[in-house]
This record gives sequence, C-alpha cells and structure tokens, in this order.
Amino acid sequence: MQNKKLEEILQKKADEIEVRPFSVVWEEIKDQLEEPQPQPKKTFALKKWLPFAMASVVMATAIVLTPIIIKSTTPPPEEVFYHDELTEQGIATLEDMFSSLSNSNIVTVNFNEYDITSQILYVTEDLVAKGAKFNLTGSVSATQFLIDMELFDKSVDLKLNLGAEYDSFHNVNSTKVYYKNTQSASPMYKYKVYAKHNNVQYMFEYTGVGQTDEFISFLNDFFQ
Amino acid sequence: MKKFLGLVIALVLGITSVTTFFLQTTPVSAQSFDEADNYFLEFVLSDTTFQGEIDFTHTPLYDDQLNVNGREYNFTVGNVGGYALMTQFYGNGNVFYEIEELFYNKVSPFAGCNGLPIYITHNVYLEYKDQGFYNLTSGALVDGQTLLEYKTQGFNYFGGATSSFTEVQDTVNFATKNTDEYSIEYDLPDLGATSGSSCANVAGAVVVVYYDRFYQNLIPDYDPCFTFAGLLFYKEDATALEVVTELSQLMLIGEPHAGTTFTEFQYGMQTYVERQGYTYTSNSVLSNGSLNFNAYKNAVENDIPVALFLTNFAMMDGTVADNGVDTIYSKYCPVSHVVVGCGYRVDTYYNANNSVIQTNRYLKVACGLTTYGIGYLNINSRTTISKAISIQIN
Repeated sequence: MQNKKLEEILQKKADEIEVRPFSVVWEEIKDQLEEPQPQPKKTFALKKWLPFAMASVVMATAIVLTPIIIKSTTPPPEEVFYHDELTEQGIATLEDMFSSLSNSNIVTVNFNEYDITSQILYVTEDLVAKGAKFNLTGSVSATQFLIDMELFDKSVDLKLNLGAEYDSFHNVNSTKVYYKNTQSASPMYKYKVYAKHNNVQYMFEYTGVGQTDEFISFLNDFFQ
Repeated sequence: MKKFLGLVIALVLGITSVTTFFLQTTPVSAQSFDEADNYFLEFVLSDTTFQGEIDFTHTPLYDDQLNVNGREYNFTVGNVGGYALMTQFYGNGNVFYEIEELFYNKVSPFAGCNGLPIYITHNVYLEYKDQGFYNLTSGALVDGQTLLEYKTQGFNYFGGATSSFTEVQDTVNFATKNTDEYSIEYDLPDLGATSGSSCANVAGAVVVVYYDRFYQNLIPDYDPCFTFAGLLFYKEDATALEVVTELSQLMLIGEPHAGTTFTEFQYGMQTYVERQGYTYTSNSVLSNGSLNFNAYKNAVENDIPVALFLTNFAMMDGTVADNGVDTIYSKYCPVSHVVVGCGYRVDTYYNANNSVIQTNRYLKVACGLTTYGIGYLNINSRTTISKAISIQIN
C-alpha cells in the first residue's frame, strides 16, 4: 500500500518534467562544440629525409671505398723473407754477384778497396737475389783484416736479438753499428758486427791481425 | 758403420758364450731373432752402459693407413727397464730399420693404447679406435689436416728454421762463474742449404768439406780453405755448395719426400765417401738414450766432428751478466734439424761457498742457419737429441 502511494508521487513528478525537442537543444549547444580537425595525411616526406639519406649513402660509399683507395694509392707491403727460407747459390764471378744484387735494388757500400773471394748469393725460390756471402780482405793502418761477410736486403728478417748478441755500438754518421768483441789479444782481434746501412743489412765477423786494434777505424771507413 | 754393425751382430749371435745373453719372450733361441731384432740389439748394445741380460718383447706399430711400419720394444737390461720405438721403411730394394727413440726407466707412450698404436712422426703418439685417430698424450681427436702434417714430417729431419723460432730466457744466480771452451781448430765450414736440399744434406757437406782438408780426393781438384795471416779459413763457395746438392741426391732413398731420415744420411754419406775411395765410419755418442757429453767431448777434442739429429732444439743467442745474475737468451725451434758439432762451452756456476750450483753446457755447432753460422746449441733445456754420431773419414 505504501509502495503504491510512492509510485503515484513519482509519476506525478515525472509528468511535471518538460522534455524539449532535440532540434531545440541542438540549436542551443551547437555553437559551443568545436568543429572536428582534419587528420594530417600520412605521406612519405622525401624532402625531410633526403639530406639524411644522402649523408648515409656518402658515408657507406666512403666506408667501402676508403680501404680500396688506400690500397691502390699506397705500395703493397714488402714481402718478408726469413734468411733460411733463402737458398745459397754458387756464383762464378764478382761481376755476376754485384749484377744480381743490383738487379734486386740492393745497393751496397763500395767494396773496391777490398779483395773479395769465394762469393755466393742468397736467393728466393724464384731465384731473386736477396743477399750475398763472401770473404774480403784489406788493411787499415798496420792492421790486416779478413771479413766473413753476409749482407741482406732489408726485407730479410734475420731474427736477431741485438741486445743479447751484441754488447756495444758505434755510430758512423746515421748508421748504428752493433758489435761484440769475441777475441781481443794481439796479434788477433775478432768482432761480430751487425748494421743496417742504406736499406742493406750487414752481418759479419771481422778478424784483425796486427799489433794494434784498428776495428773502429775500419768501421768509419766502411760505413762512411 | 757397416763394420761396426757386423761386429755387433756377430757379438749378438755369438753371445751365448759370454756372460750376457739375450732372451726374446717367446721363443728364446738366438736363431729366432729376425733382422729387426738384430738391429734393435745392436742399437741397445751401442747405447747402454747398463750391465746384464737383455730381455725384450715387441709389438707392431702402424702408419696412418693401418699398415705395420715398425715395432715397440719393451726391454730390460739387467735390472733396468726401458722401451724403444723402431720404424721400418723400404728403399732401393732394401728394408731399413731405425730406432727413433729409446729410453730407460720410462714407460712407453703407447702403454695406455687400447686401439692400434699409430707412430708416424717423432714425439707424436696416436691411437686408432672407433674409426678415428686420437692423440694418446692429450686424448684429443686428431683432424685430417693435422694427421697430414704429421705424415709429411714423418721421421725426416727438415723444417728447423727461424720462421718457427721463439725467444726463451733462462737465468742463473751465482757468486762466481767459470767458462771452459773448446773447438776443433778453425771450426767447421759454415754452409747453408741449396735449392731442394735440407739440413741433413748441409750437415753431410760440412763433414765432407772439413775432411777434404786432410783427404784431397774427397772433393777432387778443390782446396776447401785459404789462409790469411797464417790462419786457415773455409771458402764456402760454389764448389762446396755442389757437395750439398750432390748429397741431397745421394741421401734420397725411395719415394721423393721432404727432408732426410737418419738412415738416408748414413746411406748417402757412405755412398759418397766410398765412391771417392775412402772409408766412412760413425759411432754413436749417446748413452742410455741421452747425449754422452764425455764421449762428445772426446770426439771433438780429437778433431772428429759429431752429427747431431735433433727433434727440437734451442740455439743460444748470448748471455748477459748483471750483478750476479746470468740471463741466457736462446731461440727455441719445435721442428727437427741436423747440425754438426765441433766444440763446446761449459759454464760452471758457484755460490758464495764456492760450491757448484749449476753447470750449463752448450755445443758449438755448424748450424746450417745463416743467423747462427757457427753457433752454440743450448742443450740444457728444450733440445732433444735423438741421435748423435761421431764421423770419421779415412
């Protein structure tokens, strides 16, 4: 009973509410609403990307070409030979020996002052001269000397341990001559020597015979 | 050598009349010894200083094709046990035997082998099982490339070169030091390899050129030396190099291969020397599997050069003394090589009480390598001498 009375009250109130037509309401509110903004078109902006793309292409090209350019503009690294990869070749005359060395661009000191005997060449598998071995004799002041000489192109790795094998050095102009005195008693003086002079490596044993030791004088003459 | 070999075999076969006798495990009689056994016995006799009965057994060794290529001997001499590894190969219609290694008081590296023992180069011990080759030392499976390298090296001496050198150092602390040196007068010729030759051929030529000083027809119409200020020097010229080349041909037995075996060295030297009308004799200066330094010393002090066959080696660059410490610089090469000894250097180190604390020995050798020429072989460590023979030509 009580509920029915409540329903009647609610119905009466509802009937009192005025429902206005939509068209009237729309006219009232339409100016308060913003117009929908058009969405930007999703298109590829070539102009925007072009500088970046060009920079990338230039960079990639540089990466690819730089080693090629460097390789083509710098001489190839010279092949290194270990001395015992070379073989010994008998050679008949001194002229033949120096001619073979010259053909390999091995320009030695001037040996004209010395007497040279028993020469051989060091050659590669392709018979290219890389060095030579010979004896030479001469004298400085009153000291006669004999040298057991080996010389090599700079491309020959002699695997020397200079610190252990030699204990002294002497400078002749810009050439540093390493040496070790192996016998020092008149009338005989012996030295083992290594020097790199004008791209040629000299490795030899010097035997001096005399009352005085003229070894340093010899070095000064030899590498002048 | 042949004379020596014949003498030894005769000694072996007639041994029952002497206090020492030989036993093969089964059967026992001396007549049952085959050629390989006789070679083995001759080698042991020339090597050992131990006294007593020699008892031995042998089992086959195989190559990479699983063909028998040698024998493992396990033996005792008196109370001392040991093992030897022998290889066999064919050439010029003959079979040749070589003892590649022999040790006393040591178990064979093949002792733990359950498959087939494979022995194809120095210091490498393989086992074939489960269709694969395994390194008995490391247990690792050996790949085909490595196997090919082992096979190429074989038991030939070659490849010792500076390209494979590594620097090594040793130090000795001491209070005082004494150095004793000796060399055959004027040393030996300093020769190197010619095209197609190897270190063993060079070593042979060094010996021939040296003896040509005393026996002029060894190299006809050739004087190997010149004098300067009353001193004698070797020429080291084209004629000497021709001997290297000739020996490289004479020392090749059988199929062409790199390097030279010990047997080939002996065969080539004997052939060359006898062809020139002289006699070639060699004697081992090994004792109990190691260099007998006194025997070596005795040889060079009597002007007899000694050929040294190395499976690895170190050449001394020099020693630097600094405030009671010697630093010894050497270069080590893990590959085989042949050099000829002509002298020695012995450094004896003492402490403050004047007691010997260390003795370092170096053999002065014609190295066949340009850097060293006539240099010093560091035998205190890192050098394995598999064979050493004093050589006489007369």
